[in-house]
Order: sequence, then structure tokens, then C-alpha cells
Amino acid sequence: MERELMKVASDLFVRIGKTEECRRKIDDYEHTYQFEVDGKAEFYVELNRGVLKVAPGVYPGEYTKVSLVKTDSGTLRAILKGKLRPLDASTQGKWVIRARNYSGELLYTLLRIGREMVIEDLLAAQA
Amino acid sequence: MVEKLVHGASLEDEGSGAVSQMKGITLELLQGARNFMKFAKIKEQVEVAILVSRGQDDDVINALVIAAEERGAHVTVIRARGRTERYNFPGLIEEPSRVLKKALIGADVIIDAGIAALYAVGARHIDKEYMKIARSEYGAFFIRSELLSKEIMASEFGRMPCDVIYEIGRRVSSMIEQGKTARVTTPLGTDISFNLNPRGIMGSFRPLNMPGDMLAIPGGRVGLNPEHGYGILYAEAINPMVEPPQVLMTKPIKIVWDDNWAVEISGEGENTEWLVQMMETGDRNARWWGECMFGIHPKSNAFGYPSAPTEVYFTGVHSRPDTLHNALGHSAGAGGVVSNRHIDTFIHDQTLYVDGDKLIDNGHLLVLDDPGMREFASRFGDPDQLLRMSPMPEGLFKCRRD
Repeated sequence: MERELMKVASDLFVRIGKTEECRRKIDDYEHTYQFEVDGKAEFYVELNRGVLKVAPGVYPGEYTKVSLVKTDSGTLRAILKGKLRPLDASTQGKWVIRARNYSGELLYTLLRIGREMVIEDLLAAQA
Repeated sequence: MVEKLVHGASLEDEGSGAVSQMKGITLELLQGARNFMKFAKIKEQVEVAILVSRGQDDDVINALVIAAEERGAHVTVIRARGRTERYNFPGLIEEPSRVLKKALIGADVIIDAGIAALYAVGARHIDKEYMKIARSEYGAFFIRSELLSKEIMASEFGRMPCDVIYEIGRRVSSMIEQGKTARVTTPLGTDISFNLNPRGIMGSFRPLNMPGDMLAIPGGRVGLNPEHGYGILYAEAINPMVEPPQVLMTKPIKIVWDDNWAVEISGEGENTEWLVQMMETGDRNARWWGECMFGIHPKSNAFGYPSAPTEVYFTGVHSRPDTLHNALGHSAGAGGVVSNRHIDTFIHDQTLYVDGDKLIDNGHLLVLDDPGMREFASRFGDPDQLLRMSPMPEGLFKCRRD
């Protein structure tokens, strides 16, 4: 995965984590999404009782609280740029979550928050 | 004894025998509603949308609102058309209103407390796009209340702490997870077998999990995705939600399974012709054996039978440990087969074996006798009382065992 894409992902998730809606949704939960992009564990998003953290590589913590997301860099880029909904990518087989603790829906919610932010950025730039 | 509630309503505690003569919101009714909200994880600042159906008892709805607001939630009640109204307005099969769909994405928790208020569109409304968006993209919990009447809400079924049900479910699912094969027999002649897949276990037997999760409360059912299933099933009833001509038949329908496929549907059951037609008009997976599910809630029953609407009393039937249902069509568990049909066919007084060991013996869930289970239940009351099953109403299942 390109370094630039990693930065896009990291920046967006950090911004998502600062929103009030995200904090409210993840308030009670400890969970980690490990992203495997183009077959390689590239980064993980850790939720810890209202705090969202992004880090490169493989999550070193407890395996039982980790959901695995498998995708390719093109799909991830399209999602992060707000051009593709993860739900649609999932239907197309480009995005697979091996979810633990029924955690798959929450990641879709976080990415929907991100998509709305990206769209707002685009509209602001056009204005 | 008269007690004042936080909302100023008068509360008459009429004691445990008051169910049949309740007026207004009794303590028992409120206990059922409070139990529900506790296990729905309702807390301060949570936006709760309660969907109810027109014509439903106001005391049931008000008890839910009071119990949610006591926990600090912000509650909105949406009253929509319920399924029972379809009898008065035949042909009303339509999507929920646009207003309702929009409202769903504003809620942190959606409680479907109506008599199938979202159900005008068919059994798989949870697969509809509006529900996917609400649950997945907006992280709303979707909770189906099974406390559909005052009698149910105030009953032991409504008031029993769900911790006990979840512990029963944990023990049952753990036994299934370790098994390879299952077999189900009934006195009526059913003898079916299938392979078990530990990833295919689902149902309402566990606590609510992360945002977007869905659950029925009180629930109390464990379901399996049968694999390579064979045998003969003698079905005695069909879930009323799919509107069969007659829910509880006087003669069974014979269904022959061959590698998870219903190769034969025959017999003198009143719904046989209807079921064959549902298969013919369904999609290509309609004959798939999509589910085998049984109840685990010892206090579940056909509350209100026979005077209540079938949708109301039958909800409690399928959480009873002495009933089991097999679905034709859509698989309820993860990784299953997709179909536009999901028709639950019921048997009762079943014996369920996992790897040859009995899990249910002639309708009796053996986990309820387990010393560890009884010790757990004793934290919440007398285990004899909590784990003892209520008898099924006489004459509910009608097929004769000649």
C-alpha cells in the first residue's frame, strides 16, 4: 500500500474519531479493526471507550477483540475519497469483514461519518 | 398499595395474581418494561424510537416509554400501521412510510414494539435497504420487543432477568458448537438429521452487542443452519407471519429433506397445497432448509391464546423449549443461502440429539436441570421457580398422535 494512501486513511480516521457522533457511538466499546490491504496487514483502527486511534502494522493486542477487514488499495482509496460506500463494496465482493462481536456495522457507521466529512470538504473547496 | 411513579402516574400493585384484571400501569407491567430497557442497554442521552402499531394497548406503550425515560433516554413514539390491520384492509402490502424510514436513521436504538409495525412488507424486513442503512451506516440497534400485550409484559416471561436466558443460551450454544451432527425426532414421526456448523449458530440468546446489532427481547431461541440435512419432517404449524390458511393444523405436512432440499411436500395438512404454491412462486432457493431453531425460555408461552391475535400469542410459542421450527428458504445465520421465502414450519415435543446425546428430551430442555445452571439462576431467585416450564395451553397443537 502506498504511503500516501496510508496517510489518507490515518488522517480520515483521526478526524472521524474527533466527531461527537463517533465518540457517542464508540463510547462503551473496545474493539480493533485490522486492515489487510492487497493481502498485507497495513494498519489498524483501535476503539477504546470513546477514543479512536490509528496505527500502522499488525495490532499487538488481544486477538479476540479484532475484526479483520480485507480489501484492495483501489477500493480503500475510493471509500476514503467518498466515491464508494463500503456497503456497496461489500456487495461487490471488494470489501470483506470477518467481524467479531457483531462489530461489522460499527465500521460502516464510522466510514459513513467519514464520507459525509469528505463530501463537505469537496463542497467547501468548490465554493 | 399505591405508589407514585416518576411521571406522576398512579401505580397499583395488585400482586402476582392481578394479570387478568389489570387497570392501567401496574407494578408488574412496569417491571416487564424495565427489564426490557435494561437489556436493550438504554441509558442517558440515547435517542430511542419506539415503533408501535395502531390499536395497540396504550398501557404497554406507556410502560415502555416510562421505563426508557427513567433511564435518561430521549424517547419518540412512532405509531404506524400494524400487521393485524391488514385483515381490515386486505391487500395493504407496502413499504413502511417514507417518514418512518427517515426517522429510523435518527435513532440510536429502534424498538419495534408493535404487532409487526414494520412487517407489512414481508418476513425479511431486516434485509431491506432502509434497515441496512439505519443499522450499518447509522449504527442503530434494532430491537424487537416481544412484550406485545399487557399480559405478556407483566408475565414471568416479560419480567425474568435476561441474564438467566443468556446463561441458558450460552450453555446450549456451547454444546452445539462442539457437536458435529444433530438429530430431531417427534412422537408424530419426524426424524431428521443434519451436520452442524459452529459458525451458523444464531438467535436471540445473547446480550446485545455493538452498534448495529439486532436482537429480540426477551427472546430465548437458538437457531442453526442445517448442513447436508436428510429425513422426514411432519410439520404441525406454520408461522402466522407468512399468513398460511391455518396456523395450527389438524393434520401434519410431510416434508422430505434430501441434502438440505425439500424434495417432497405432501400430506393432508390444511396448509399443504398453500406451502407447495409458496415454493412454486418463490425463488430458486425456496426449498432450501434454511434454519432449525428451538426455544430455550422456560417461561415463554402462548399468552392470550385463543382470544389474542395469532401474531401475539404465537410469538411466545416459538421461544418454548418444547417447540422447534425448520424454515424453508432464506438462511437466518451467517453465510447461508439467500431466498425470498422464509417459512417456519413447527413441531413440538421434540427430542434433539447432538452427537447422539440428548439436548432436549420430549420437549424438556435438559440444561434447565444442570446443577451449574441452577446455581446461576439462584442468584436471581428460586431456581425451581425460575427454570420450571409453564405448561402449554390445552389443544394448542392439534395434530393427533395415532
